[in-house]
Amino acid sequence: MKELPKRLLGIIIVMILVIALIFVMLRIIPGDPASVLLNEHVSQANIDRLTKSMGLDKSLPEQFFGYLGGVLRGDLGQSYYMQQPVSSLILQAFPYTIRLTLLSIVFAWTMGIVSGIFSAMYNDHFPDYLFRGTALLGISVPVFMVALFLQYLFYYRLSLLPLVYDGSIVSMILPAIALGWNSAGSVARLMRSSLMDELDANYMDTARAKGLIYKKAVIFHAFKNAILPVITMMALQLAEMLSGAVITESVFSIPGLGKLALTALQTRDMPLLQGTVLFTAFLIAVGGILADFINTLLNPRLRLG
Amino acid sequence: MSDFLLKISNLTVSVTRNKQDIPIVKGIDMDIPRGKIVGLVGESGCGKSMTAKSIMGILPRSAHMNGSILWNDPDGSQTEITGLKEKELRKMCGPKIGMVFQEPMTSLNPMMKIGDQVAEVLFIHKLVKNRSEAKEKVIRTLGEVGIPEPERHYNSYPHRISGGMRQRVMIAMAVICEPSLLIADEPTTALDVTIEAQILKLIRHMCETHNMSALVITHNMGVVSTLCDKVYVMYMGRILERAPVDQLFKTPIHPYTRGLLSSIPRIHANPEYLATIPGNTPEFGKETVGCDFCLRCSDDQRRCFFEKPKEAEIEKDHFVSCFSANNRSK
Amino acid sequence: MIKLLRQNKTALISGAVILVVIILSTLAPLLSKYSETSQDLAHRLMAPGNGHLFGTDELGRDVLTRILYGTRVSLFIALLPTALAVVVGTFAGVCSALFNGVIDFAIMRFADVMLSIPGMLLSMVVLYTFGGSLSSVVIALILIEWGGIARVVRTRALEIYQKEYIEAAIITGAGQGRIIFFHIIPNLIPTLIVLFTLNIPSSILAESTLSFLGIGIQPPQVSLGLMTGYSRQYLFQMPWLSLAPSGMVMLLVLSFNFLGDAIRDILDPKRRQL
Repeated sequence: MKELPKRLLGIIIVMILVIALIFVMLRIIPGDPASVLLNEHVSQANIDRLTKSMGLDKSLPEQFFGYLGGVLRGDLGQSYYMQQPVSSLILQAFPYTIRLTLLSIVFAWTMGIVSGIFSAMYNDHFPDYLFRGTALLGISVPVFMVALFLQYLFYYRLSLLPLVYDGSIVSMILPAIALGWNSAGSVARLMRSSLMDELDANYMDTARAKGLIYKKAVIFHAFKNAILPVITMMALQLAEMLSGAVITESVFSIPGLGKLALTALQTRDMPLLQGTVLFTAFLIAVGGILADFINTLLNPRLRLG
Repeated sequence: MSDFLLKISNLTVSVTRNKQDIPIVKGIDMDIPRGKIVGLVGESGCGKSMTAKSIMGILPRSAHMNGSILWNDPDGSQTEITGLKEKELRKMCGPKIGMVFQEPMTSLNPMMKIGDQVAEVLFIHKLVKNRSEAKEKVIRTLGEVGIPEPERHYNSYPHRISGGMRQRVMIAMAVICEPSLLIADEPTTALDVTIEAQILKLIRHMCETHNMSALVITHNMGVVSTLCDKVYVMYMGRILERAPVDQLFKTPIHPYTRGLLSSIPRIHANPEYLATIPGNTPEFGKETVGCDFCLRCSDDQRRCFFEKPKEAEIEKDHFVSCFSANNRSK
Repeated sequence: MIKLLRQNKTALISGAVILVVIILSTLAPLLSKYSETSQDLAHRLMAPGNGHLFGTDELGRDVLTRILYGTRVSLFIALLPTALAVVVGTFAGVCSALFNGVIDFAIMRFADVMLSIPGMLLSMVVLYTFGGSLSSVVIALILIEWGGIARVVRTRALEIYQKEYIEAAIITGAGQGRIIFFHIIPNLIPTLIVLFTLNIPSSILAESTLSFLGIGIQPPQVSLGLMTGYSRQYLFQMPWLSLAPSGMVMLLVLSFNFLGDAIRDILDPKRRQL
């Protein structure tokens, strides 16, 4: 990872731009956030006091650099609505989201990789059509539909799993499946096309000429090569999953980042929304570095020496 | 008669495309004697590689084969390869038959160390007890095929070594189980001319020291002359002429063979003139009634267009399928 | 050839489904005797049948009629913001490819920034500023999608720019504008069609998701996601209320996915991933 410092610098630049962008976008409409929070009967003096305490009386550049400085110190401002520091709200919510995301990544990858392999190996036969159809269905179903369907089936019909998140790991199963469903579909599709390319590779003939039966040659040789693009997709998937987390957490009442962002939007809590968006962008940047790192670790052609 | 190692009879391979069977190999007979190097010569796409792949059972999934491939093991037992199940066939690949492929750039798995790729053969066939024994044997073989500092290169990945070196690795992989037959499919086509000579010398050397037979597939008559004992000339999925190498080079009979031989560029030849065989290989799948070569042949006769010539022995061990040769032998 | 034909068959079927859906939803006012907003509190939450094929919702409105009207919104969302995103993305991508240096750097960094924020959260920022409405959703979708399109277009335009025929055009004295409009854009068109069809499903999904959460399209406008969101409370007693509108979303997305796959395979066979 000779490129790591360069990558880190790039990410810092992008993050500063993200902050600037969000900052500007949230303030395009010249409104008075303070007056939104208080009702009409409050006197102008009170509005002014609140505006001042929120730092909104300063000029926009002043506000921005003040905020940027705060971000560097880990201070994302004060939530209007919940009267707590945004950073501590995010840190409370983060573990739920990370648990949910990791669980659904495990689900998505297991399902996606296994069905992608089957699909590629039985190309143009029944299992291929079955898995391909399922994968296409997987990427076509809205997350909320999967969530509602799972609730209906596993809670109402079968009484197997809890309706909403109650703190136990069991109640995390349905949300994880709902969230991972889409990704499982795209992993399966990528795995299939990537593996199909590798099955035609010359080294597969070599492997069989060595005496490996076809299935073992697929597992020991083609798979190792085919998984690389799938890992590259991981960073992209993370962004999609954090998007999906908003809806999954809302349907299953998980107090994670997505729920936090939604609450922020619904209560017009600008610092909170700003902070959550920023934090998820940061998570995705970290995920990108992680995917690169794993790729370098696995792919000898990217390694030096 | 039992001194052959491998006997192919009436082998046909066809590829299914658009629900149509396109014949690629159209019933060939061939035998590989023990301890001899046999060459299979022909232009690109004439079915040479398919023949080799059908012996190894690694035809593409769209292809299927018929006919018989009989393996006459040095221990006396005979096996019909075409009748074997995948699992049994794989047991032969490695210990009995080794194969070197055309493209050393892509025939090695880019994700594995070359040493591990060679060692894998040993593990598959359980020829070694543990890793250290395998490693020792691999390093010895890598040294034998001329890889400098085999200990260091054991841990190299394929993209770090040159094409010639990769082909040496392929050879090491093919011979490490000491097979009785080595199949080399265009082993030097992708290499520089200087490297080509080294690799050919290496193949010859390995065959002699390990008492191996070899089937060398090439389009290059030069390779045949330096390496082989016996030659099969293939065109459009059929064998047109077969003979021991000296006889073929001294008295080539079939117009196609003659064309191939005169196409070898020579230093002292007239530089203005580069001999070629006129025309192109006809499309596959269009079966003709006459001789396959009739459209490109220099001494075509009327009957060439309406009848397939039968194979005739014109001198000892020298067979030709051509009407002009039939006339000559009479 | 067979393979192409079979892919065309899926393209045909999915295309036919989309066409039928378009016709039905366009003709909705003629086909249905109910209006999408007329309430009939005497006939609330009726089971399917009895003149209402999918029953009625919590305000006694005909669900089937509302689905047809909601489909109109989904189709609008499928086409307009996606097309605009392709236009913006193409413009940015071509500019980036042609004017390397500061402009290229600025555009691509901007695209990076957009792409590093999850789409859902980026649209939430837009919705915070402009409030929940159809036009805010359109703006949000353009912002989410243009960056990815710009990246692909830039790469493709650079590939085209290095082709011999561009060099030939330059040598014969063609101006920058001529090269862009007569050489680069026409050669980009297959890529653009593929990008357009591939982005349609995500547009539809994003709109329905935002509306489901209640932050996208607002009542009294109809949206399939919004309908599902409201029917959620009756999920266990009347599952069809949620199933019907979300099933329609699925059908649309599935058809567009099939169509997009087929078009990509035909126009761009070498590029399985975009």
